[in-house]
Amino acid sequence: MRVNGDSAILINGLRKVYESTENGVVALKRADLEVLCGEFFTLLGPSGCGKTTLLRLIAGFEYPTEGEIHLFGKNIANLPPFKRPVNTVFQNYALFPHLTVAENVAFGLQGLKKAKSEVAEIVTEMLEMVHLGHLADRHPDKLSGGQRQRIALARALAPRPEVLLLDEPLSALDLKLRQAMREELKRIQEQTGITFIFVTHDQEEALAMSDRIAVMSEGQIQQIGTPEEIYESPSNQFVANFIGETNLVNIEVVGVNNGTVECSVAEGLILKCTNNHNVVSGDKRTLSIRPENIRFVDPSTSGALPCKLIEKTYIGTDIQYQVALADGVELRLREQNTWRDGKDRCSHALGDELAIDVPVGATQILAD
Amino acid sequence: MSFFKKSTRYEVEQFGGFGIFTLLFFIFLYAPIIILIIFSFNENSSATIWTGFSLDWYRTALENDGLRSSAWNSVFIATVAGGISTIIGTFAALSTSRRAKWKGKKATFGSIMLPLLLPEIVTGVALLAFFSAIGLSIGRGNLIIAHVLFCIPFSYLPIRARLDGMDDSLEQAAMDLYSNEWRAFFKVTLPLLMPGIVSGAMLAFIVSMDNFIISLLVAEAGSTTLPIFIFGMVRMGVTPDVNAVSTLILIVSVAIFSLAHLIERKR
Ligand SMILES: Nc1ncnc2c1ncn2[C@@H]1O[C@H](COP(=O)(O)OP(=O)(O)OP(=O)(O)O)[C@@H](O)[C@H]1O
Ligand SMILES: [Mg+2]
Repeated sequence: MRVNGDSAILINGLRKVYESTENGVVALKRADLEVLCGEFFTLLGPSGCGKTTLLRLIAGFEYPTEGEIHLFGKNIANLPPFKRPVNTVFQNYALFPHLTVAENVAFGLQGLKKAKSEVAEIVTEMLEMVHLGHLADRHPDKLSGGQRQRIALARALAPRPEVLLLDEPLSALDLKLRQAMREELKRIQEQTGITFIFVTHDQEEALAMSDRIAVMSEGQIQQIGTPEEIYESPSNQFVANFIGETNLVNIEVVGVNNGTVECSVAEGLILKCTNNHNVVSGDKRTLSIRPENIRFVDPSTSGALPCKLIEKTYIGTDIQYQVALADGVELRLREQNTWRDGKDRCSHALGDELAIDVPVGATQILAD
Repeated sequence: MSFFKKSTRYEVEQFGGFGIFTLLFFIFLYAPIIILIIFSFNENSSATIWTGFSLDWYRTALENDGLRSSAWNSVFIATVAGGISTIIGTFAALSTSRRAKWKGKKATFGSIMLPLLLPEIVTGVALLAFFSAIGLSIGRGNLIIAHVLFCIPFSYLPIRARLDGMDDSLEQAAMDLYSNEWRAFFKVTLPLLMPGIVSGAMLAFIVSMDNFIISLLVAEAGSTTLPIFIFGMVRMGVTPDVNAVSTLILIVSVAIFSLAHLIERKR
């Protein structure tokens, strides 16, 4: 019996070079990664960063150029796909058009040579789980996109794989349906307890659904962590920029005391932040400051930085401002557009001389 | 709406005389065939003067032993050669469309298509010389070998087209769902490929039935095909029984095409 928290997938030094072209395409430079049993694990990254490649290596549709893939301690890197207890939900669903919905869902179970009665029982159970029992005898071309998606999910889950791989399963659905399916996927994952490895390039989707996220870029894993860790403490510029919005500011460390660092942004402009990367005086680094962490304050407050409002954008739930500080440094900040004590939140006008506060804990020194 | 469509879209029907031209074209294409069919029912033995309706020429044609045996020969050869070339075409299509890049893939594709480009007379003479050089003389067998050769591209092309239009993620899905290569092939690839295979087999059958030049060169005494036999009849002058035979062949061809079309529609 597998126990939650065991290592389900352990990947060591995985590398993939596609040899089809003259020089070969390095799709995966080197991946090291551990996915725990029962986890909802997400691979997140921009188009072409190697997410699908990594997933296909785990599924067995591609073989690695180098490296190992362990599934519960067993190296599966060179097994064909039909010998791996891992199933895939394809991006285009890949439902068999010549088979009915029920036959589609039964396909994997028949491949495992299960008894007829057991197959029928599991098929019914799976179709019930995705609320599509009434469509058992239809053909896939007579289903809607959302229904196909659920059948693809039921088909991949029916053989009870040790790990389920999902390659951007929601990307073909419209916004409303996508949000409904997110919850549905989460519910099914919790209900079955199966480990999910989910691929997406949609950061909101990743943050909302995952237990842990691996952020990828250019064939490399940039950071692995919980949604909070990824968002609150991005480890490098790529992650900080890719997840959410941020201000990236080049600084020089001018003073370190008691875990707090003083960073010089420009002549006479000092920001304070926590020393999470053990920097020393004289280091040149990049700082990430989330726009929602900066506030307008009364100019007389201690530590307030004077600035001038140069741009204001109304985006419904928020109002986004661009301010210029000393020496041409610009920062973006956001305020929630809430009604508070009758005070008009949009009262600042372009060109106003204002002041902002950047709290010590709200800035992150990035590792370069 | 239709106002805008008419004035902004560039339609070929807008050219003057387009309708007349189309009509003339179809007359040019089908008039000889229609005349052939009509005169196959002529009472008289003339191929140009209509005197009255009769089915005599059909009886004459069907009672002709040489015609019957050569027709049977042709059907037999077309079935066997069409079948063999379809099997070969299927495997060829699978290995050129589904297997990863391998050395000589392009050259293989080229050599499969080559019989289409070679003049038939060249293929025929080469086969004749080859058969006599190795002393192969197995009657219909020689014809079957020759027909397989030029039928392969015709059965290969529709199968290849079908495979190329088929997403290979379906086969991957089958493998993902615990099917080895064989199960994936028989449960997924083959059923989805069937319409292509049917078209390929039909094309091969008809091309084989139709072939004249290569058959004439390769055929040995006693293994005459239908086109060769009809050619022999025509040399004595066009009689209405030739018309009758041609009409029968036409009916069979149309029937085969319609049947295949219906089968494909049903899927
Ligand atoms: N079969 C292949 N042959 C050659 N190169 C390939 C092949 N498949 C992918 N690549 C290349 O490998 C790189 C990574 O591709 P991959 O499909 O893994 O990206 P991805 O992160 O899934 O992108 P997307 O979000 O667009 O799906 C790309 O540069 C791509 O062009
Ligand atoms: Mg992809």
